[in-house]
Amino acid sequence: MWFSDRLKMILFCFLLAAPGAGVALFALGGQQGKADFTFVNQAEITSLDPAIATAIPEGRIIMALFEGLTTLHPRTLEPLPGVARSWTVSEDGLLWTFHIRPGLRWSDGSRLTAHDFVYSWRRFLEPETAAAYAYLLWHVEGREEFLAGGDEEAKHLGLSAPDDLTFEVSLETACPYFLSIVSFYPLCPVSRACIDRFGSRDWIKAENLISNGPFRITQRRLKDRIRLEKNPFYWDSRNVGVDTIDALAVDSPITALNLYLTGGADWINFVPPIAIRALENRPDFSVAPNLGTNFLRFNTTREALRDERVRRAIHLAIDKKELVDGVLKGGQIPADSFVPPGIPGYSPPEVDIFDPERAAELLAAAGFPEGEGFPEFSILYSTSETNRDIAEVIALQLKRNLGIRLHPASQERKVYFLSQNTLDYDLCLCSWLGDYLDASTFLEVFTSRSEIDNNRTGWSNGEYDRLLTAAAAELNQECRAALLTSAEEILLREAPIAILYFRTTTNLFNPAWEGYHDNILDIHPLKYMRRRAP
Amino acid sequence: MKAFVVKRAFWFCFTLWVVITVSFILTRSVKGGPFDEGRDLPPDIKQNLLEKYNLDDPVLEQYADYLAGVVFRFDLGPSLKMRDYSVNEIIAETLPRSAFLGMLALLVALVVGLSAGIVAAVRRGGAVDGFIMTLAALGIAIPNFMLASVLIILFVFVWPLFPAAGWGSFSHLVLPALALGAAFSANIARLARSGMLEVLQEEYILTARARGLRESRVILVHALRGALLPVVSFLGPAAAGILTGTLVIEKIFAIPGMGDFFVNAALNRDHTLTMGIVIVYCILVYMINLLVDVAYTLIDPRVKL
Repeated sequence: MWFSDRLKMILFCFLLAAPGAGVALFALGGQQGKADFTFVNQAEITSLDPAIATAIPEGRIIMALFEGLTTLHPRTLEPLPGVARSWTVSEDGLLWTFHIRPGLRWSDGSRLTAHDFVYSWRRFLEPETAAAYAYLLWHVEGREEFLAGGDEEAKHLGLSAPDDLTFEVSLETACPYFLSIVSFYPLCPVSRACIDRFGSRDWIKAENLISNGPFRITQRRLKDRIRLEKNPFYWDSRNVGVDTIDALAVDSPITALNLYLTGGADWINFVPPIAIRALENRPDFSVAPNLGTNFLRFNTTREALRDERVRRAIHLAIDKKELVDGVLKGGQIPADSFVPPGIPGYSPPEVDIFDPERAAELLAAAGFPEGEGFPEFSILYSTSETNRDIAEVIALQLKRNLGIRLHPASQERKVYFLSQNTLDYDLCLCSWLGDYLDASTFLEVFTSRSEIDNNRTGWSNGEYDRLLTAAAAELNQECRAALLTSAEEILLREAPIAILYFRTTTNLFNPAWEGYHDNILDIHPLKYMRRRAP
Repeated sequence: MKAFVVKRAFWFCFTLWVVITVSFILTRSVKGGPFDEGRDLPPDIKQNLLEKYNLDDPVLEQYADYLAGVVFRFDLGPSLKMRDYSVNEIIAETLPRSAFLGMLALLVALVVGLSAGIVAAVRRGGAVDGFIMTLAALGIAIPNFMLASVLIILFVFVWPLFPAAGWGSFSHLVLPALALGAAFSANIARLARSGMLEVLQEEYILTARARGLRESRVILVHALRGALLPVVSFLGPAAAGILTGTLVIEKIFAIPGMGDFFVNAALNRDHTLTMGIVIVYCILVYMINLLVDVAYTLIDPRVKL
């Protein structure tokens, strides 16, 4: 043998140590100092592409990097001028004209014009982009021909830029809440130069990305953090209150809380329910109602659930207050409508939410006195401890108040969605979060005419569909609200769902900072965060 | 030696093929797809997504494409959920972090475990032995997430020495490495102790002592070598356990490693990412076992490859 044993041993150890040192260098490399403001942005985001992202954590970063035609006031949620300094709408509500601020620039210093919006919105609608929210622009004229393909037809898509500072949108049908949609992050502009140069997959990398918002991205470390830095080319950069921001990807709420309590984060957006009792009296803790409702879906194709009296009986027999106070404990509010309160100009109908005696009468009238002969249905939920507790308490309440026996049944998340989609369930625990400030973001869910099937109950009602179609075209706000309220009345009367509670978000925000305001859309633009004057 | 290499290489390729095939079948046969969500996608958009990721092709074609990509281009495909990344990019970015944490944990396990084991063996039957072995029994019994919580309470809140979570400096790694390595160090201590006790009875130790060597030299040079054998054979499974065990620790300490993806990719039906990680784990475990085999020959001259 050429080597002595000792030499072999040394070589072997070196063989182990060398990659170890390499890995260490690589793994710990690329560090930057602490950012001025750090917040926990829940799980790692799926994409920074405004057209592709769909969830709230994505939205927070995208709204920091990009700016749409309008933005929302951080407290009142009123539309504020963004890229557009003003806008007008024709009397029939079909032609929207946005006047772009002069002198706007992308984060690389190049000019931003109305043509960028034509490009971005077309890209948003293109089938290759596969934007999940593409339906937001289905009102745009010529959309169907555009999707059908062919260059000639594509020209007719109702998006145009008569000059650099004017962006026109022609709609096929009026859309009274169009301004709310316009401020929603999927409709932010993207840089054509950047996409053309780096390709549809690599343009979004931190080192390539060009954006137009208050911040630009300087680093993205997968599952760790996104580093944002004030964008000097942003038109309002004078009023951006913070130079650098870290958005941490931390999906365990307990870990997020530990970070906040030890100064590792200045804001967390989800406080673990188990810790709420201990924290609720702190001045930096807040509970904010959210534009979201949790409810039970009924599979109305099941024989026993076809009768609306049965569904209403179940709804009236569930004690929502007990659920909220005994199980959830996060400041949630027992729901008395499907559309949560707080949408300007809309007042939901009033209904009874808990009346066990009436519930028992309804069930008896439907042929199941004291629950006799009622099938042993299951309550499906997506696997989680909280959901399990909710399902169990509901089953107990229904046994107590109606004498019917239901079994909580858990399914892993994806299977659960599949079961809902294919109506392979009896009752299931669900939730819905609204995207924009209009009741239709909730009520559209239960139409039976949409290409998008979010209904998932087998229920349909012609009058309900008609009211929503009429509301979509109605320009008078009051008449429109009345139409939507009537639709919701039908929904609550026929009860394909049993409403449970309105959702909340729980926040801890460092008192040394300001700029955070509770609001139902859970939108907190980072542009407004600033250190409180001492 | 040559025969050993050829044989190992063959079995490696075969194992990898079986792993790829089985995980392909498993990922495609579970209920629910990558685009089943609480919000339904319009049918044409869903179709576009399926086309984009070739999920509308016949399954056999998908399988052939995937295998070809892995074998000829080392391309594990795009992630279906992390839409800005390819699986190769995700693994290249996160694996070194998990590996680094794993190595530190293994180092902790070895250093603590070996010294505790040797001390216990030398002082066998005494109070020190009893104490170490009780601690070892506890170390094996307490799950790492529980230990992690205790460590956080003690060294983050009561005595704030280390950051609560995150990644970026060496101090971020101390608690996770301890929590992850503890159970393994307990095992190593027990193995080292029993190996040592056995070796200390051997005649060559008696000879060494009779020649008047210092006790420390007898223990650390002559006896230790023999005591290491059971420990080394444990290192294979231990390294595999640490690798796959990082997922809980990564979650608790918000470490941006690969472990967490292992579970979440499967839950998200991110087929390409799930399979990519399974392949990487398979390669790693295979390599570690190979290293252990080679290490054997170095410690025990009787073992030949």
